[in-house]
Parts: sequence; structure tokens; C-alpha cells
Amino acid sequence: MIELENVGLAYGNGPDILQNVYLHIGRGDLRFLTGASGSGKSTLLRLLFLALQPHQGMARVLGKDVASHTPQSRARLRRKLGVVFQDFRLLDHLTIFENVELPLRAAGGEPGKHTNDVNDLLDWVGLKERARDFPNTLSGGEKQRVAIARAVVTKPELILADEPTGNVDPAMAKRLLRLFLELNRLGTTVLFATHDKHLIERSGGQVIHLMPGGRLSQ
Amino acid sequence: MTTASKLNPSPIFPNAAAHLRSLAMTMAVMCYLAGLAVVSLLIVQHTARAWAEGLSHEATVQLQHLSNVDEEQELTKALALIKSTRGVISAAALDKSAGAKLLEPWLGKGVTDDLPIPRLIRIAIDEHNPPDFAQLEATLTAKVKGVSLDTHRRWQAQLSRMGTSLVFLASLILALITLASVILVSYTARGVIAANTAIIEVLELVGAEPRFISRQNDKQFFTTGLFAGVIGMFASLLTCAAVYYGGGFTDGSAMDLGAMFNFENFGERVIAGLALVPLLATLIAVWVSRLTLLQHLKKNS
Ligand SMILES: Nc1ncnc2c1ncn2[C@@H]1O[C@H](COP(=O)(O)OP(=O)(O)OP(=O)(O)O)[C@@H](O)[C@H]1O
Ligand SMILES: [Mg+2]
Repeated sequence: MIELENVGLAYGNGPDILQNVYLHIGRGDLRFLTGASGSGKSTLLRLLFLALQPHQGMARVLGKDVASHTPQSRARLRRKLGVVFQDFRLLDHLTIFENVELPLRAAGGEPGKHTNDVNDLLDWVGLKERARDFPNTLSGGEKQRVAIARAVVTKPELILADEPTGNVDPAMAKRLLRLFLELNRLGTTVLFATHDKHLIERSGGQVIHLMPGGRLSQ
Repeated sequence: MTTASKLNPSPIFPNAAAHLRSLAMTMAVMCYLAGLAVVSLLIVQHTARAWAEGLSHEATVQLQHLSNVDEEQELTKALALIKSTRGVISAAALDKSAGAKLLEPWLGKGVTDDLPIPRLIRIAIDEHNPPDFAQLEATLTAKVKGVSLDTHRRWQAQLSRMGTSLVFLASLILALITLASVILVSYTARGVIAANTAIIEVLELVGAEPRFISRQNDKQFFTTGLFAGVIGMFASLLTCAAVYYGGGFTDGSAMDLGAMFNFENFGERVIAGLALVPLLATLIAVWVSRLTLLQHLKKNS
């Protein structure tokens, strides 16, 4: 699923954010990614959803080297990923329903064709009643739940979640975690960045720790 | 809720309206100018051809009025010679008053009676088998006094030269309008892209292919191009109609557009030429904006 060999990564000519990173995540695994704020968790995830390129080493996602993509193959690979962005990245001019439906439309689906799937998911994250509202009328935690629904709506092979429970109360965090655990049980690979020790203990997943200086300890 | 989103999904690029509105307006003006250029081009082409056509099956022989020569006798001689030439369908002398009438508008009534007015013979020519004019001229000048032959060839050449240069000018104008439209659309497309950068980025992140993203764009530029083209086309059509009916061209004067419309399907060609305007405008709007966006997506990755 994910193979990183001796990866080094920096923003432009800046300092290395990741250094000598080795990481192997197999199909169906569940991993938590922890590390101090600014340690590079989001950066690692960006590498994995093909928004950044390593300047050193080799990175493979779903069996393909991240450096060898064309715009088409990159889009194809991204449709097999479900990404929860730390800053949500919802589209303010689309309704909650349309935001969640967007990856299905991007994959060539007709608008309105997967209405039931979308509604079920919105129900799970507790936002069924808000389906016709727009994102800027939601709280941070509510937006986060929309972002999660959008990430999983296509039943992706690999979920990359960047602190997906960072803005919700413990009860909701537990409920959302159940969603990820359930998807993982059905075979989805999950990489879950979080600071929440309780959540990690509750789930029994393995932890990858990003240390200052950009090295991993597993 | 479900039916609403089914029937009317929100456009994926929302921040384009202002850019597209100004594009629609400027492009409509471009299309209007293009429409006028197309009609002018067709009119020039047609007039030149219609006139040349008229000239090519006619020739004129002129007999100078000479004081010590019997005019009628020379005229009969010339007529006989002309009629016996191969390729001449008919020849007729205009009588004296007809020649005078031709000059009347310049000289005034009555004045012409005392003037030495040349006599004219109008020759109808078989277009497909025209006479040997050099031979005819040589024979005539040898046997008839004060004769000269006007085959209108010089006029034809000048007409066709003028026609060619005017057609060239109109084509140049059309090419420049096209170029300006291309620049305009590309500029607008870049504005739309800049206004929707964040949205385009999210689309890319959720796995939308460049084709999908540019399709969102196509729809808006398609309607804009078509709208501008149709408005421009009808405006130029209205202008032509106003010039035709309001400009005194209906009275059978030299520029008889009415008659021209019946010559070689001129009307149909004007309609076809004008219909090309919205077609081309739509094509330019869609293709140039698509290329601009695809270029942007490529550069981004
Ligand atoms: N676009 C960028 N350009 C330059 N530097 C960046 C950029 N994004 C992040 N960085 C730097 O990279 C480092 C790692 O950032 P990153 O966002 O990956 O941390 P993080 O582990 O996700 O932190 P947090 O837990 O706060 O989300 C930080 O020092 C940050 O300043
Ligand atoms: Mg982060």
C-alpha cells in the first residue's frame, strides 16, 4: 500500500521536514501517526496524496512511484484515496450534500445518483438535517464531520485522515473512530494522524511517531 | 432535498459570472463587427462578379463624328463587318438620340443636338465562343473611318483588381477580430481560473481529471460564446437591413441590392456567412478557455 525508502522532503529550498524516512504499511493495516505540532505529520500525508514530491529516496503509494505520475494517473490514484484534510477544504458554494457528493461526481457519477449513500453517511456523522445547508453555517466540528463523510463516500482503498477528530468532543470522537474502525474491518487501509492518546489506546492500532528532525520511530 | 439536488446541481465553478459577463459584452461587439465584415466581403465579391459578368457578354464600338464622312454609311459598313464575325450574337446601332440621352445628365437637355456625338454599336457576345477581338479591331480600323472598339476588358481587370483588394481587406479585418477574440477569451479564462483557484485545487485533490475540471468550464464558456455570437449576428443583420431599407438602395439604383439578392443565391450566402459568426465565437470561447485551463492544470502539477 505505502512504501517509503529513505525519503527526504523539504518545502522549496527550506530545511528538510522529513529525513531518512522508512515506512511500510500493508493492505488492510490501521496505523496512527503521532508527533508534536510542526513535526511534519501533515507533510507526510501530503506526500502520500501526491501533493508533494520527495527530493530524496523513493515513495510508492498503491504500488506506484509518486514521481512517475501523469496528471491523469494522479487523478486516478486520488480517486482510490480518501483524504480528510486538517483544514477540511470544503467548497463554500456547495451544500453539505453536494460537498460529500463531489468525489462521486469527480469520478464521473451523475449528480443525485448516489443520494442514498450520501444520506446514510451524513446520518452517521450526525448531519442529516443539515444536508441542504452551506459549510459556512457549520461549526468547526461539524465541518470536520462533513470532511470525513466526503473522504469515505467513494469507499476508498486507503484513507489518510489528518487529525479527523481534532475539533469534536470525546463522545463524537469515539463515534467517528468507530466509523474508521468499521471501514478498516471491511478491508480499508487507514493512516490516522492524531494527538489523542485515549483514542489510540481504545483502538489497538499501531503507532508511528514522527520525531523532531523528521525521522520516524515505529 | 434529493430531488432538488438531482434537478439542479450547483455549478462547480461559481466565481465566473462577472468575468463571463464582460466577456459576453465585448465578444458580442466583436461578433457584430465580424458580421459586418462578412456581409461587406460578400457584397464586394458579388458586386464585382455581377458587374464583370454583365460586361463580359457585351462590347461596344464607337464611331467618331468626322466632318467629311458620311456617318450612316460608315455605320452600316461597321455593322455588316461585326455581324459577319464569328462569336457575335447580335449587333445593333444605338440611334442618335440614344447617344445624346447618355450625355444629357452631364450636359443638359437640348445642348446635345448640335454636338458631334459619337455613334455607338452595342455587340452581344457569345461568352463561350468569344470573337477574336484583335482581329475584329484590325478589320474595323482598316475599313471604317473613326472607329474604335471597347471590349470592356480594361474595366473587367480593374473591377477584379478592386474586388480582390477589398476582399483581402475584409479578410484581414476578420482575421484581426478572430485574433482579438482569442486573446480576450484566454484573458477571461485566466481570470476565471484565478477566481476559482481554491476550488480547482480541491477538485484535483478529490481526483477530478483535467477533463472533468475543464468540462465545468466548457459549459459556461459555451453559453457565453453562443450568446455573444447570436447577439452580434442579429445586430449586424439589423444594421444591414437598416442600411438597405433606410439608405435608398431599394429604388433600383446602381447598387441594387434587391436584384443582387437574387443573383447566384446571394441571400443564402449572406445567411450562411452570418451563421458562421456565432459558430466561430462558440468554438473560440470553448477551445481557447479549455486550452488555457488545461495549460494551467499541467503547469500546476
Ligand atoms: N507550505 C509550506 N511551506 C513551507 N513550510 C511549511 C509548509 N507547510 C508546513 N511547513 C513547515 O513544515 C513543518 C511541518 O509542518 P506540518 O504541517 O507537516 O506539521 P504537523 O505535524 O502537521 O503539525 P500540526 O500537528 O500542527 O498539524 C512545519 O515546521 C511547518 O512550518
Ligand atoms: Mg498537521
